[in-house]
This record gives sequence, structure tokens and C-alpha cells, in this order.
Amino acid sequence: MLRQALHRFRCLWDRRRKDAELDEEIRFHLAAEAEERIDAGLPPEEARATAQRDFGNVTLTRELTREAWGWAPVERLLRDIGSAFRMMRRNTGYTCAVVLTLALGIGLNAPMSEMLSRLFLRPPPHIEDPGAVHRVWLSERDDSDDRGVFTGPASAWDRMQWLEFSALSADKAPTGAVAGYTAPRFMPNGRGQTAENLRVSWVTGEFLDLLGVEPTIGRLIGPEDDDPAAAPVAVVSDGYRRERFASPQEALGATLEFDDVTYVVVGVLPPGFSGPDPDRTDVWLPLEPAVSAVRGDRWRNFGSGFYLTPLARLPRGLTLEAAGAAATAAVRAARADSPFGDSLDPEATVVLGSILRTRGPSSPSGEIRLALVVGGVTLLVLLIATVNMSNLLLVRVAARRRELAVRYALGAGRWGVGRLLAIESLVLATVSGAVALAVAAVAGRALRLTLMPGHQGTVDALNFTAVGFTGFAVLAVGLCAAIAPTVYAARSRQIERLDSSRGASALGTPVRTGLIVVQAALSLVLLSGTAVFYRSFEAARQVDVGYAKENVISVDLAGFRRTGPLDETAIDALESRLRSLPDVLDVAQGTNSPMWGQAAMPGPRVEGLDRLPFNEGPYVGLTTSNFFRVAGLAIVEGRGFTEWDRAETR
Amino acid sequence: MTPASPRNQLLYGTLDLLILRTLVYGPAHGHAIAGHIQRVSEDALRIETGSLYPALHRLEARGWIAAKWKTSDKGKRARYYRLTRTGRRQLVVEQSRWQQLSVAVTRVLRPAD
Repeated sequence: MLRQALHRFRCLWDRRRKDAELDEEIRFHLAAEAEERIDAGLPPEEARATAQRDFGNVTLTRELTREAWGWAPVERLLRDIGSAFRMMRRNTGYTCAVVLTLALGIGLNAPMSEMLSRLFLRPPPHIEDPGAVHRVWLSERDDSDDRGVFTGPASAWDRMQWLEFSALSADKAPTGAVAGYTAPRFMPNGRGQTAENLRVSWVTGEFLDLLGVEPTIGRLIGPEDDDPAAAPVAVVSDGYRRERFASPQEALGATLEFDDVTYVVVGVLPPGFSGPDPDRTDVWLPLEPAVSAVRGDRWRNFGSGFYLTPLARLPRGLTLEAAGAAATAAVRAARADSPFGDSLDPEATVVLGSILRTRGPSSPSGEIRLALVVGGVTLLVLLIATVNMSNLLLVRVAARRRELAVRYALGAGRWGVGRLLAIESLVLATVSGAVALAVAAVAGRALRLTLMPGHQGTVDALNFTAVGFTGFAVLAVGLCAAIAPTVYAARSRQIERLDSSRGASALGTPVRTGLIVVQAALSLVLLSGTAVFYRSFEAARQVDVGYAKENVISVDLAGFRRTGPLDETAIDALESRLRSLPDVLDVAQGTNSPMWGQAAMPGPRVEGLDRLPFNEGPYVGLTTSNFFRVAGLAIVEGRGFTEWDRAETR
Repeated sequence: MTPASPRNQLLYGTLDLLILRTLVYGPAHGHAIAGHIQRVSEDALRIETGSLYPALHRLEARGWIAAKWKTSDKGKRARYYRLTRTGRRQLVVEQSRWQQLSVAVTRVLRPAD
């Protein structure tokens, strides 16, 4: 087998020498034959002529012998590829049109396929046996009237408060190992000018071990770190390590400061690791010191405050249903025992699902829906590009009917012409694929930044999935686009004669009409989609949100409290510094911004009412007198504050 | 591929056997191989050059025979083929296959025995 392959390769390699040798061999045969005949008494001329005649068709013998060398198919392929390139060079405009549309189609789809596969199909990287790790969902009903009666629609969340989480993770809960983490959020590390905003996730001591991730250097956060007596430690992502430290060794022992607690970095996680979600995380902190810093040592005694996303690694033999039922019982028991039990749905259920959030029971978030829509649109673009290419190939075939007729006349079969067209289509698709990779490199970054800004991107834009998709798309598009032209070429074989008077007038074939209809329909869908999107976007822009959308900047002072005590004097000093800036017209203060955030103030009472007629709240904001004017908030009835509304007035 | 003529139509695969058998006597070029087969078969088997050379090159590609350029008796450069070790083994296989076939055909032709 190997010897044959080697022999074939050698034949292919010295093709010219082999050809020359074969010619010499045949010449020798003819000469020897002629000599034999001369020896038998024939005159030399006649001897040579009869030898030649008896030998038969020299060209045919040569062709048949070449077939025996085993590279005839390769040679045919090379010839077809060469012919495809010549065709492309002769029709530069056509080639550019096809390559550009297709490159755009494939180049947009490659990063999109990568993004969607990461969201919906592929488990997050660096997690050991991800099929056994399950996200734990809590499904509960709404208390729409705020009366302790849970009749509203049930909704599922993959986060729960400490009350429920501790019921799951207690030793007695039969769901296997359970660990929890908080969704990463920005926290300032350090003080003043050198402070940096990092995405921080709080994790229980078992979390990283449950995922089975291996640190590139140092160690993970363990259960012993999630303890009031332990020295606070942190592990950092590879991405953050690269931004801050020259080498992994340098990161070990470095300190980070969050909420006035100093954490020592004890480990660096592998590149691309972002936990169970694609959201970028810079630092992981053990739950105990992180929560104690903001909620005090006795935070475990209070039911509410922050949310943990639980993960469970099920032991072999335990079904999802059994684990879910056991977890449901544990959560209901914990709620029944809790002092806050009245405000919680007593019939909440726990469901275990895939580690991928997108495959859980909740409806997809806006971000995910947008990614899906964009994915659909890019797929549509690719479809249009394919149909477009097929159509252009068809036009080319129609224009080349004479050439094809000559090929048929010279003995090329349908299979031969079909192969030629398929190879031309594949060569075009391959060239487009190469351009598409360049498009993908640029578009991938742009798409990720636009659609999923917070997501941990893989290090290189052209990763395995994107390149694999491109290869697959090239093959699929190349073959699909060749179908119609091949069918057309095969059909035209019967009717075609070497008749130059007939041009490419017979283009109104059903195939081509069909292709044009498909292309038009797809383009129409895309165009109307664009129009609808643009109109919705404009409508959204025109909506009166109740405050000035332009020329108002909101400054959150939460980040300033590290620079010193943030009392009234400090705030007033900040305000006067802002006022002195040349383009600032006015400055107002408030405890909450009109754009987001609500500050609840406990205890407002209205005389004569036992309870206020709201589900939640009321929310109270404290403002300076010019707040409404500066924020562009319209007062529906009555008046705003004036400088006369002081402490001593009513 | 070869023009059909009843006298020298060879059973498929027989040509390989004849070439291998001929080369048992020593290296030979294509013309000599064809001549030998024709002579020994007393003109009953005449090898078409259109099948001889493809067959020689096919056997070479399979490694059953090997080729070398040498000067012939008459002082011209010719491509000489010789049997390789695998070719010798193959000859035994082909020969026994042919004998089985020939016995079977004979039985069919003389059912009375």
C-alpha cells in the first residue's frame, strides 16, 4: 500500500521524465518491431509502416499507460483547477462580484457561528466533565398583590438568596456537590487616581474545585478560604494577569483591595476561563470575607441581600428529576422555617438544567435574542450570496454554451462537465473563503464588541470554530451553487449544437427564474427586516422618557468615597469644581439619578392610611432645588422645589 | 479499449499472469515479452501494445515487477523489466488461480467424466 502510494507520488513528481521515458520505450518497441520485419525480408519503408500500423494508436497507448501511473485523477483535477483560474482571470468583474458577496456572507457568519455556539452549544472552557455540572433554577410565582398570595405567573431564575442556597448546599441535601457564585460586577480596586474598576465574582469555597478548573500557577480558592478566620485571598483571570503583571509569578502575592479588605492573589486561572458564563470576570473572591465587608459578620442570619447562582455536580446514578425533587423539598422546608417565610412562595420548585444558561427554563434575555436575530440575518446574507453566486455561475454557463458544446463534442461526458463546473464553483468559494477569513477577523471583533461587550472573548479572532465554519461553508456553498449550472449544462447538452448564431438568449429557463425568485424573496425579507428595525429604532429614539436624554451627564459618587470622607462639604466642593468647568451650565444633586437607580427610604407614612397603595416603595429621592430643571424632568402637576423650600418651611 | 478480435481477446487478468510468467526466465523489454508470449503460444496469443504497456506499468506500480534502462543486444537503450520478490509470490497465486479456473472450465465442458 505504502509502496504504491510512494510510487504514485514519484510518478507525479517526475511527470516530465516519466513521459519522456514512455515515449522512448514506445519508440524502441516500434524500432525493434521494424527491424524484425526487415530481418524477415520486408523493405525498410514498408517494415516501418506496418510496424506502426500494427502498433495501433500511439496516443491512446500513451494515455492508457499514464492511467496506470495512478495520478490521472489528480492530473484531471489540477487541469480543472487551472481552467477555473483562467476563467476567473478572464472575467475579473464577475469574479470580484462573487468573491466579495460570498466573502461578506461567510466572513460575517464565521464569528457569528462561533459566538452562537459558545452561547448555546459548547460548554464553557476548562470545566471538567461539563455534562455532569448543572445550573440550579428556582421557579416561583409572583405575589402580584403583595398580600402573601402567590397567584401570578411562575418565572425561573438561576440565582437564589442565601436562605435557599444554604438549604441546597447543606450536608443533608442529596444533590451531590453544590457551589455558588455571584454574577460578576464592577468593583473598584484601590483608591483615588490609581483605582481600577474590575469585574469581581464572589464564590463559595467549593466553586472552583467543583468546576474542576486547573490554575496555570498557584492554587484555587478552597473551602478553607471561605471562612471568617482565614486570611482573605483572591484568584485572577489570565486576561487581567496579562494586563497588570509581566509574568504569572509576579501576580502571585500581589494584593487587591475591595471594600477596604486586602486580598492576596494566590492563583491565576487558565486563558479563556470565565466560569460557567461567557461574561468576563477579572477576580474571584471567597464569599465570606467579601460579603462580611459589606454586610457585617452576621450576614448569614439575614435572608436577603445578594444572589448566588448555584451549580451542582451530580453523583453518578442520580437523575435530574430526583435531584430536583430533593432540592425542591429542601428549599420549601427552609422557607417554611424562615422568619421571612410569609413573603416567599411556599410552592417554589427547583429544576436542574444544563450548565449553559441559554438552555435553561427562563426565556432568553434581550442580549441573547439580539444575537439570535443577528445570527439569522447573517445566515440570510450567506444564503443570498450563495444564490447570487449560483445565478452568476448560471449566466457564465449560458455565455459559455459554445465552449461547453465543444467540450461535449470532444467527448467530455456530463460527469466531466459537471465536475468542471463544480470545481470552478469550489475554487471561487475557496478564494472567497480566504477573503472571508480577513472579513471574519475584523467583523468578529466588531460583532463581539457590539453584541456582547461584557463577554470574555477568545484570545484570537480566528479560532478553530470560525475557521472550521469557513471551511464547511466554502464546501457547502461551492457545491450548492454548482447544482443549478450543472443541471442547466446537462440539459442544454441535448439541444446544443455548435451553432454560433444562438447566443445566450435561452436564459429564461425555469432554473434561473427559480433562482431569481429565491434571491428576490430573500433580499425582500432582509430589506423589510432592515426597514422594520430602522423604524423601531427611530421610534425608540423618539420616545419621551421623561427626562433630558441629551446634554445631561450623571456622575455616580459611589466611586469617590475612597478619596476621603464624602460629607456635605466634600460634595459641595465637587459641585463648585464642576461648575467652574467652561461647558457646564448647571449642576444639581440628588440621591438617585433619573436614568436608573432607586433609593428606598424606609418608613414614610401617610396619615389615615394603614398601608400605602403600592406593591413596593414608595421610593424617596432627596434633591437640590434645581434638580428637576437640570435633569429635564417635567412636573406633571403643582410645582418643583424653589430656594425658598428650606428646613424651616413646610 | 483494445479492438475486439476473437483470436487475441484475453480473459481479464490473464495478461498479468502471462507477463509475470515470461519474466521468470530473466529480465526483458516490452517488445521481447510480447514476442515471447506470441512465440510460445504458437501465434495463438498476440498481445496488443495498447494493453501491454499499461499492464507493464500497472504491475510496476504494484511492485510486482521493476524496470531499469539497459542497452539491448542491438546496442539501443531499452527498458528492461524483471520480477521482484513480491512479483514471484504473486505469480504463484495467479498461477494457482488460473489452474483452478481452467479445471473448472474443463469440467463444465466435459460433464460426462
